[in-house]
Amino acid sequence: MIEIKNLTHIYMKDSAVERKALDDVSLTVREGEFLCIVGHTGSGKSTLIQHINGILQPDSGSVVIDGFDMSQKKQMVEGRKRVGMVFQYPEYQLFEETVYKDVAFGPTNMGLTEPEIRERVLNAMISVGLLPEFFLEKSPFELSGGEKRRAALAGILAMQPNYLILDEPMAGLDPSGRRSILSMLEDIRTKYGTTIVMVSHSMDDIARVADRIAVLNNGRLIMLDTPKAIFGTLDLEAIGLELPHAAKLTKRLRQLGLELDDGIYEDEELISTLLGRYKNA
Amino acid sequence: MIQIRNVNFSYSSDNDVLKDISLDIRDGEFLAIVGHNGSGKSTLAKTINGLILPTSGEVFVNGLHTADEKSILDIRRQVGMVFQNPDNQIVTTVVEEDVAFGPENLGIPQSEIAERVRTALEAVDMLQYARSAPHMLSGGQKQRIAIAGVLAMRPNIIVFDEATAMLDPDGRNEVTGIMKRLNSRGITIIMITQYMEEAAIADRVAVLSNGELKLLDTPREIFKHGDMLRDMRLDVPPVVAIRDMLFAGGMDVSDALTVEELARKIVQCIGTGK
Repeated sequence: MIEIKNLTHIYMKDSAVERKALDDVSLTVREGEFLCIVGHTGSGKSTLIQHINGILQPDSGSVVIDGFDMSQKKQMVEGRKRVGMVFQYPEYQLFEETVYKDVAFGPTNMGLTEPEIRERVLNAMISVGLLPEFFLEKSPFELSGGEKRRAALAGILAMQPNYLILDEPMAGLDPSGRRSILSMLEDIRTKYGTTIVMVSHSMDDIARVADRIAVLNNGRLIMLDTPKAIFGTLDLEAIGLELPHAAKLTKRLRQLGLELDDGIYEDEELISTLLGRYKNA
Repeated sequence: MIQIRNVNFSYSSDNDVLKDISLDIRDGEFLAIVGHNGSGKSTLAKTINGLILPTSGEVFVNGLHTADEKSILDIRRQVGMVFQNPDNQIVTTVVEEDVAFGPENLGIPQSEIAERVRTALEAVDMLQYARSAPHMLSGGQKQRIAIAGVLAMRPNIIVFDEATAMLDPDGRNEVTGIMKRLNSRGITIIMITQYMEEAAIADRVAVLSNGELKLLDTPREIFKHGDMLRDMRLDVPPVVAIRDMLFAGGMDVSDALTVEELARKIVQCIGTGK
């Protein structure tokens, strides 16, 4: 469990451009859930997740991971071991001669034995869909954009984190790359019970995978609830966000006079509802 | 008019990035180019202003050959480019100086530069930020400054190379809105994108796969080929995916391309129940 309590973070403190990037944010990430964080650029999403592995420290409030207080140096070391952080465009951080060495970098630093490392690297590569026999000895720079992204993810997975924190993991990928990253995350969660926290702008993707959504606006947490509650009740467009297309269409159909539940946000639900009406019409 | 004639391009002999591509882009057209990562779409775009010269084949911009050294400056003046990362395209610390950078390099007289900068900032709704520091702006605003910098060189063609990829939905809407506006003023727009719903706003869509031009048609026609697009690692826009499922279930919604069109067709099919 990750407990974030009354977290406030101020950029450029005591200067003329002082700005509260996070303002009294409290939220709990539950064991095993898929939590998505949304908000426009500058809403505080990235600042928030950088507190989860202690890169940033709060000006007030606290972050506690499985009981370890991230403001205490020794406890932070323990807390960090549980957290795998995937930043935007993680493939820019590939640097080793071979994919194997790159994926092994984290586990090697954890002081594991050679056979343990090898097993973790192979499992991580399989999880992200990079066939070990084909990719192990390749240079990361020979890979395509989507493959590089997956290799970078494998490097994090090989550390077997309890919590996987991802900042825009699908940015810049083609539609098929987006789909495969998303189903890969769902598989990892099913297989290892990993808790996933994902920052994303892509509401259609979020609608597919999220158990809960946290909405940030100007550094404040304005809502934390199920997708159905968020998409049905919150005016996301007013804070610079979009609705999933199924919810957009539902909203427009309701405006045109069709009687539909306002909490519909998934394609399947909307399609079966509409086809049901059509057959009875 | 841009004429792309049997263009091939390779970095090494065993790997063709572009394979025999021929394509005419008309004056004033809004063309989207889509394709999987590594399909060659960015490379193709860079052949248009001579940043990349074809290994074989030719590219002509308003009759000027991109391989002709004497023409290249003229071509670069006519074809502006806006790239993915706004932070890599901003070079000064004041917005108006940034916009003036291009025309200054073209040797335009100072008196005219001021006028060009003003008009360019006006065209992207950023005039009120003329004296601001670029790093204080949002991603969408930074991209608009990059676009103004291109406009100040008075191009008749602008290539947007995944210019919305790093923006949030608001920023993406700002930038695609500006593209449409510039196009309505007669500027040819070439938009490379990974987002199928953005491609849907173009006049025509070119689909690249493994360096080959596979489809070239209106978005309405292109997005009738969902299975084919998915085979090429692409997709239809999300609203078209919903449309296709409704159509498969027997509803007559086949042509809809936007939320608005689909909503109206659905209401036609099933009434409002009142």
